[in-house]
Formats: sequence, structure tokens, C-alpha cells
Amino acid sequence: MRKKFVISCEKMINQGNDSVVILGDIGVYGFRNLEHQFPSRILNLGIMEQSMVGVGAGFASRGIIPTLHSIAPFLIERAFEQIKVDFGYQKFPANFVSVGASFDYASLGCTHHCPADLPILSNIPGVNLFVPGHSEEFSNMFDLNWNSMSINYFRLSENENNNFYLNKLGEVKKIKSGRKAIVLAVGPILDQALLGLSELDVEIHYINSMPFGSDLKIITDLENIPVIIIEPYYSGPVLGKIQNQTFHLNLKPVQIGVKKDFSLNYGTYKTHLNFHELDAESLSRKVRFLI
Amino acid sequence: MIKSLKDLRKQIITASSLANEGHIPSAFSILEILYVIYVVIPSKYNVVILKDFDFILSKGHGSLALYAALTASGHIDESWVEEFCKDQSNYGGHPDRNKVSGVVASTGSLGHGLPITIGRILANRQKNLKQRSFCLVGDGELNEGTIWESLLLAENFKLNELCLIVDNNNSTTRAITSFNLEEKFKSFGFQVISINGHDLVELEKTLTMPISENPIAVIANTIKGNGLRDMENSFEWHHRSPNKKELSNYLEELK
Repeated sequence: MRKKFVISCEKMINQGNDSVVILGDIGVYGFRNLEHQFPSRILNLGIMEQSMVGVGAGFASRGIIPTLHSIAPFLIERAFEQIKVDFGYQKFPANFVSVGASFDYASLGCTHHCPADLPILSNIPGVNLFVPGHSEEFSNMFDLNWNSMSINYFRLSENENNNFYLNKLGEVKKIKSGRKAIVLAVGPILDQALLGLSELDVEIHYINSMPFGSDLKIITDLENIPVIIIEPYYSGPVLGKIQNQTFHLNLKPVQIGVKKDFSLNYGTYKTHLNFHELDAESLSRKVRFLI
Repeated sequence: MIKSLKDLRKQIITASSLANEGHIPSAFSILEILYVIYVVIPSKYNVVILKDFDFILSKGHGSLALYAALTASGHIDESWVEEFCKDQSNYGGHPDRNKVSGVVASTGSLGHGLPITIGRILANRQKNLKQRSFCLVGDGELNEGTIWESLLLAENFKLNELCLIVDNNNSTTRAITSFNLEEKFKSFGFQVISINGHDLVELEKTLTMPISENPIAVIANTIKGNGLRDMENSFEWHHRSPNKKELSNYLEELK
């Protein structure tokens, strides 16, 4: 996904003069050629995330849409107030593109983990959330939305699904039929859900974005059953987007997400999935219990 | 159109008293600076603020002075005095760029205005536009890390368009002091000029200096609450509004 990010930025830069890429000293090697070609439009501001966001707002106030990139906890959690005030409150457009969430940088420890990015950003009015599960999804969604004049958050993942499914903001796609529960899997967790739940009588839907100000629409004939939301971060943002439908179809929502606990071990993405019980086997066990 | 500074001070205390809100001493320490930026420079040099030069009030709690200066410059009318901090008002305790003509950044949380100013200068460069950009910060605001990050950016990008004005009204004496500001700014490659921040002539001369090699830091030495004896350097008045009787006395003092 990071390689696709550079390619998309190159397209964006070549489209006109109304964009700038601001790096927080992350991903710089990947941008070296583009930076050489467009030194005033690919800016590495070093390690100062709060100021970097403010500088981005300055560009936006002049009609130049900034794309800001760093590791998720530093870009989102550390600079949250700057995002809220300098973009949300002021109503400036921007693209925030992170790497490393929730625990993609598993072995680097808790300072580099960030399962709270999507829940906290969902508290800022005007923010669209993108959680692509595949590189192609990222490319297509970024290319379509970078100049939407909104605040867009794109979460790059190191671990992708095998296939790509959705390119449009706010779409929901049915992946598998079933009758005993509706399962909603978000972004790169889909493959774990498919692996763990393929034998179960559940309907699986896929989501990879959440638009600000509008609901997600699940196309289903099912009613009066559990709707199980599987999110690869702290649970929350999806439930708010389906509450109306949940009420009308008498669906009983259950949220499965990253545990509210520091994952103190190092290891790999897979071992962290196990710790948070988001691996295929754990998901299978949980959903069997629920249905 | 153009009001005297005493009239503007009267507007400020009246608005604050009516609303029982506002930071009067902070407004009084920066009033002359804003007057020179919004009134003196545009009228004497035939330039238009936000077109020919840029300004951000980073210490947004000085909004009372900003609204007064905007009245003097003709951006807004005097009705702001009655409307200040009312429910549906455009004029709050901190300025909102989406509501007030002549404001480019909504400020209030300290340490935000300078990074935004830096971004605007870099954007100007991308658009091949060379203009002076002023940013006014408080000396207490200098405690914020984003200020020093931004100074590093100004030095790295050689932002000679930047004129950083520090309202040096001794707010830091009650907390963490910045010690020798001149030396600190110099170490970041700034040309440093220390002036009396209430002297219109000094302010005009300094703020109209042509763009040269280095960014400029103007240390505007001011008195918090300048203009009213009770409020001068009084911590008690930092976020307090005069009652009716006090207002009457202060309006008399400002005659």
C-alpha cells in the first residue's frame, strides 16, 4: 500500500498545482524521486507532527490541499488537537495518510501501536474514514477523493486481503450468504473473517470506508438476528453508521475489536491478532457462540 | 471611520462588561500593534491587509482588540460591541475565521497560529507570491512546543517573509519564563528588533521594514492592561470584566 501511496501522490502532483505532500520524516525514501522532481511540493518537515499539521492548514487556507503522512500514533493521536482545530473547526480540506495502525508495527512495541485512530477521528465533524483492505482499494479511493474538499483519513495497512472489493466511499458489499447472523468486516480483517467463518451460516458484508454525515447501508433480507461488527481497531465507528438500520430490522449489534489493553508483547502482526482474538480461529469461536 | 485608540479601548471594556466575558488586559497590550497593522499601514502605504500582506493573531484571547481594530479599519461595524459573546454572535472570546471578515485563522488554543503562518508562506512561494506575513504571539504562548518547531522551520526554509511579533507583556512571570528572548530568536537565524509595543511610530517603522535576508522577530515590550491603572500588570484582571460601576469609572478614566 505504501508503494501505491507514492504512485497516487505522483498522479496528484501531476494533475495540477493545488496539492502538496507533507511528510513527517516517514516514507521519505519512497518519495525520493518525486521530491527531487518537485522539491516545493514534497516537503519533509521532520519530526514535529503538531506543527506539521498546522503548516498543512496554512497551505489549505491558501487553496492548496495538503496530504500529510506519518505513523498513525504520531500523526493522529499526538496531533489530534491540531487536526480538530486547524482542519475540523476551520473547515479546511486535507488528506491524512497513516501507516502502522493498529499494530502493524507489532515488534516496535506499544509506542507505535494505534488502535484508537479511527474512533478518535470519528469524533471530528467532517472526517471521512478510509480503511482499505487492499492496495487497489487504496489507490482508487485516494485518486477519487483527495480533492473532495473534505477531511479524509486513509489508513495504510501492511497486511492486505487477497482480493479487492470496494472503491467508493460509503459502500457495503455482500461477500457471502447465510441466515443466522450478519457479519460486517472492516478493511484488512476481512480475510481473517472469511477464513474463520466460511463454514458458518452467516452473511458476511465488507466495509472499507465510513463517510461523515451519512449511514452505511447493508443490503439484506435478514431481520431479528445478531449483527456482528468486526473492526481491526477499537470498536465504535461502524456501529454509529448502522444504528438506524439496526433499529428498523431489529438487529442485535455485537462489536468485536481490538482489546482495550496494551499489547505488551513484541512478535508479529499475527501474534498480535491472536492476543486481541481477531485471528480466524478466535473469530470462529466467538461467532459460533453468538449464533 | 478611524477611531482613536482611546475610543477603541472604550469599545473593548464596554463589550466585555456587557457580556461579562473577555480578556481585557491581553487586548490592551496588543491594541497598538493591531491598530498599526489594520489601520496605519493600509491607510498610509496604500496596501490591503490579507491581499498585500498577511496577518494571524495567534493569541486568540486578544479578540477584543482584534474586533476593535477591525472596526477602525472598516472590516466590521460597531455592533460587535453589543453582540460580543452573545449566543448567535459572530464575535466570540476567540475569533472564528468563518464568521469574521478580515480573519484568516480561527485561533484560541495557543501555539496554532505560527505553524499556520509558516504554511501560508510556503503556499505563497508555491504560487510565486512574495508578501510579508505577520504573526502575533504572546510571550506566555512561547511555552508551546509548536512555536519552537516553527522557528526551526523558519530557519530551515529561510522564511524571510515572516515577521513574528511577540507581545512581551510579562505573562510568563507567573509561570515558565523564556529568559533571553533576543538570544533565542537570534540562534534560530532571526533578525531581532526590540521595541516599545505601545509606540505607534516605532511600530510603524518596524513593521514596514522591507523584506531582507532573514525572518524578523519583533519583541514588542508591552504592558498587560495598558491604559487603565487598575488593570495594568494585574493578574486579577486577566479574565475578568468590569461591572457597571467599574465600567463607568473606566470610561471616565479613558476620556
